[in-house]
Amino acid sequence: MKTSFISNLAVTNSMRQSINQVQNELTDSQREVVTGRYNNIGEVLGGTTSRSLNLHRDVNMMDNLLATNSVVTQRLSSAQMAMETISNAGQTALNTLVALAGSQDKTQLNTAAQTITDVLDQFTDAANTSVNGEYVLSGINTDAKPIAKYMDDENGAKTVFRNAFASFFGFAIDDPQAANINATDMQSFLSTVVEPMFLDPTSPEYAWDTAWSQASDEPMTSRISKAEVVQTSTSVNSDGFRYLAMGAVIATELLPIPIQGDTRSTISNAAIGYMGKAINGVDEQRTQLGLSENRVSMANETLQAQVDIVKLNLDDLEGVDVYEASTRITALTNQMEISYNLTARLSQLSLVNEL
Amino acid sequence: MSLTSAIATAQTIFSNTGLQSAALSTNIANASNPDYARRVGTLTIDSAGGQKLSIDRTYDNGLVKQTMYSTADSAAQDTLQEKLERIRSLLGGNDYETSPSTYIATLRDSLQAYATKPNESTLASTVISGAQDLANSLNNMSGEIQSMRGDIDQEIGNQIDELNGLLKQFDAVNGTIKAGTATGADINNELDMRERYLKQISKIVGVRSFTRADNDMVLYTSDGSMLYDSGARKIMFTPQAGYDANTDGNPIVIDGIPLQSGDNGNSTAKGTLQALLQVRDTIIPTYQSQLDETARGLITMFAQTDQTASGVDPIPGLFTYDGYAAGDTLPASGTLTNGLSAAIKVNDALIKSKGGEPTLLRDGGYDVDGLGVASTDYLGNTNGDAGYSDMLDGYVQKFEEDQPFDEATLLDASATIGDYATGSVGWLEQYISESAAAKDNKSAQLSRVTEALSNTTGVSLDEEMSLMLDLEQSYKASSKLVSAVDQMMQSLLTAVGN
Repeated sequence: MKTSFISNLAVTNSMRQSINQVQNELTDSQREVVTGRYNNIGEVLGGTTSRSLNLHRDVNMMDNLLATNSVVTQRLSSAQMAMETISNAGQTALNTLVALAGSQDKTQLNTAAQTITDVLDQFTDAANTSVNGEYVLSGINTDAKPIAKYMDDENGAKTVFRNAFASFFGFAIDDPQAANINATDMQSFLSTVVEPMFLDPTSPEYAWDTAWSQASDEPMTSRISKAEVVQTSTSVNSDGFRYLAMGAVIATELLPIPIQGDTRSTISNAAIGYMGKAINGVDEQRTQLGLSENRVSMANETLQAQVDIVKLNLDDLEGVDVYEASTRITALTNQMEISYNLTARLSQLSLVNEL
Repeated sequence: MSLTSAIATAQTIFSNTGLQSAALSTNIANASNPDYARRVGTLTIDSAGGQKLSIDRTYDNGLVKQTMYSTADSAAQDTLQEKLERIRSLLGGNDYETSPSTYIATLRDSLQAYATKPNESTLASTVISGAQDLANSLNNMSGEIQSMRGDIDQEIGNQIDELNGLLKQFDAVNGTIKAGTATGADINNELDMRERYLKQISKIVGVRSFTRADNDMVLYTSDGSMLYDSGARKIMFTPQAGYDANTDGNPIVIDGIPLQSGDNGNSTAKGTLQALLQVRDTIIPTYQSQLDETARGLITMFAQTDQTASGVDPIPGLFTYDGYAAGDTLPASGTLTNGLSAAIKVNDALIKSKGGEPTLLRDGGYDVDGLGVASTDYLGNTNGDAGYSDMLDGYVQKFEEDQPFDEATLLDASATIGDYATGSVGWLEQYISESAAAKDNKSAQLSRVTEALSNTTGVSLDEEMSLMLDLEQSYKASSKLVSAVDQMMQSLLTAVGN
């Protein structure tokens, strides 16, 4: 007759199994305490793992956007700085021209012409600002230096202007006959030749694209958040820059030549007008980029806030309560000690020893 | 009662004690043999009043069958879990470092960086090498899981060999049992062996057993096909020479009926064979189809499309695939193309080491693997501007757009490429997690049942010891009896002699 429903094999096996189980749990908990995440995320989360992966991807994407936004910010502030320089230079030119106020004094005229040549240089330098290997005022044609040096006739702008003068009046710009040009002719030269040369792409006189600017009309655009794309550079092809170049060129080229007083007034009035438009135009671009700068900083704030939120979500999803895990370790260690003790004692318990 | 009969009784006691001690010592010797069923000496009195001791084997048919079923369930689930873990190990560790979804996210981020600074050619190279990593990861995954199918075929072959061997041994033992039962010989050891073979067979394929006259046993698989009836039935299987996404595995045919494969994470498979079939024919092909759709989605996303309204068909862009020839139409969107994940590659025209130029990705209108299909119809950056980012940003944008995927892959029919790829990981993890829970349950069940069986039919040393004390006492008592009778005889003889 069997009286006991327990076999020796069952006793030893169950002890061994429980020790194994505790040991496994112990290593898992140890890792969880160190990493603060589940030891095996996939097994705990199952199908929800894809959500955890999506959140990780989102965090990385937003961190990446924050990094690329810093490139965008740098580009925007460099462009702003360049345009501020240009706008200030325009203001200097305007002040000089206004101060000239129809003066015929040779020295004063030369000084004014010199100042405006400086303005033209400043404009060229600032327009050619390059950051990280990109010309920031060159539109999307970032590899090309947008504005050639007029005084050095780098791209032939000076030649184009002088040729236009010569073909309109029938003599070269430094010819004494210039004294005979009257105000009406000069006005006509400015409005039918010079203005189209800078502003009207349909006119045969148009030379901005070829002799002046290498820039692309299209400004650079950059993605600053998941959904938002903003303009992040501008192009010297926008009207403000053209007016500035035009005003500065006629002032440097035409003011110093020996012409009559009222003709010179026509020139200087035209130049003042152009400079005014130039400053307005450049400031308009600055406002435009200022808006972009504002958008970028807003986007950064939003991104940062989102990153924080998503990280919290991730923590909820796959994080382990470290205190809980470490108390679990203590409990498991105790359990193991008890188990070892019991194993030792039980294996000593045998009727054989008593007989 | 005469003194002679008293002596005779004492002799019976000696003989019984001897037999019982023999059984007891066999019990003690097998205390740690899991396949041993305890022997008990049972004393019966026959019709003539004679005592007869028979040595019986304790058994519990219900528990034995339960053990067989649990063994089959647990072995199947263990196999499934092991294979699933192997597939998961291809995805990297807890952060899924090597899964395609991770490479997709990285590619998106490097594209975003490039779109922000399109004039920087190192960023272009980063994008291309990210794309190469992604294509390699898809190629590797596809290659690994298909070679796993080949390994599984081999494993099936080995297990069938083992099963045939077991059936042969089973046959021998079953024969002895039949003959022994008919002649009334001691067959307890053979019964132990047959039980052991049954457990081993159950591991490979789930079986149901029926016992007929003369203790003859018949085995059916859990599917119902005949495995053993007075002889082992034929098991046929031909392994495939090699696997790719288009290969179907051969069935395991037992007695003319193909063995069903298991189903679900908490698998319906009984025995390792069905679990192996489940991995080979269901899990890996589904996962492969998800990889294929991921590859197809990438090819579609990055295809070069018509920029001039001239009506040209799209051609591959950043990603192309082996076997693409000039004039081919791209794989249709939302329709599974088998094996694309093994064929996907980065367009040579963009790889510097292959004579390509990474920055062409920014401009569009480039060739595909030197096939001469480049055309200005696909050119976006018509002026060659270094800061042109429209196309790049378009690609970045496509990472956020839902695109159609084949429903047969068991994932969302419309999702972004990133969500689709993580969905695939989620699908696998869901499977693994179900399987892990089932594995715990089934092995717990197995150990409970084994424990119950062991408790019912196993040996307890303490009990054997106490029984030994009994035997000792009865031996002492009967020797006392013999010596008492002896003394009585002695005194009688002395009285007669004097």
